[in-house]
Amino acid sequence: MGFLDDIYNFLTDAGLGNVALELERLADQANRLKQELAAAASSAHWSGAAANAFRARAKQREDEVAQLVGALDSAHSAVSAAYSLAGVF
Amino acid sequence: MAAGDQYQVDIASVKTLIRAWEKGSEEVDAISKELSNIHDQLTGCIPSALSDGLFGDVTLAESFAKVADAASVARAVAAGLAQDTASLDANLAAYVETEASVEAKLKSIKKHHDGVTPPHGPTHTSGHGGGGGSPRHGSSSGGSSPGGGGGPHSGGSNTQPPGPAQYANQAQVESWIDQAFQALEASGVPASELDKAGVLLIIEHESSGNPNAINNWDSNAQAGDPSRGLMQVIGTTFDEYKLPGHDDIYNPVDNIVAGVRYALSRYGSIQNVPGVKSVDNGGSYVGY
Repeated sequence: MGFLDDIYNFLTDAGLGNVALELERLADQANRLKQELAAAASSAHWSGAAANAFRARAKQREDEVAQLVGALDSAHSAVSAAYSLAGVF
Repeated sequence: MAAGDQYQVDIASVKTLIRAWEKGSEEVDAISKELSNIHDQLTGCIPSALSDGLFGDVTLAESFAKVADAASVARAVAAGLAQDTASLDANLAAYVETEASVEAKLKSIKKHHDGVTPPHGPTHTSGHGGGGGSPRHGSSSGGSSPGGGGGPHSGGSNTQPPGPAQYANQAQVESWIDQAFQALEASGVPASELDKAGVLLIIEHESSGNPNAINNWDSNAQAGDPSRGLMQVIGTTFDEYKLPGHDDIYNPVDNIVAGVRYALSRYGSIQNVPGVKSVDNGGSYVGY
């Protein structure tokens, strides 16, 4: 039982619980970053075709960071679900 | 002089933009590394055979895979932001260089002017049509690359608020156009085909009057041949339409020469260039 006890302790105490919190924190950080990048892109006074093309690129990056937030949320949900289940294991 | 009569870029705000992008790249890179550490920690603690079947429908393996996915997305985003930062740095360097160059030229012109001509009032206050032809009006919304595969860009505004950094004002750009037209006429292009207001309009929308402008963002840039110069001409088009002795794509006169020859060849006249035609009809500028 020693090995399974170790796993149980990892899942419930210092392991998945901390990971779930960390993933939540990272998702919040990425979401804040998305807003900061959007604000920076819209406040630059810059004109011409290169500027317009950059703004299109900035929108693409904003979407990519949103995708990262989604991936972090998804990972957080999966780890949290495993953690909850481990709690009643 | 009204804001619309000159081409401006706020260097300070572009620097702020670069710092934001740099910080974003670093933050996302840190997120990526943190996720990789988490993944390694998880997979190192629990054997995969056990995690695969430990909790039935909610397998640990699935959780691990989602962490790995997030790490992969973060790596790609961090790389993209870093690439953007490098391109923005190149754009900024071009703006700074242009500003210094034009400022020096304007000082030289002013010094010469003060020395030979009695002072008098402003010499021009025109809008887009200044320098000849009918005035053109309209908002701007994009640009593309002569001869390139990229379509018109969208998004963003070309509103040009007053800012501390100004370069290549309309008088300077008109002077470059005049010199280019002289070369074109000497090469046999009829003067009637040379529409100064139309070329001025194209330049304003394509480069904002920056002879060192480079578009590092579109399909041409990805293909290794970015749009460059006053009229944002790609290298292959420039080489095809340049005149002998005018072979520097960043030279404003040479760039106009090639850009105008391309426009006349493709559209028959400056007036038929899509962006010029659109603005003349009350619409927004589109790339050519």
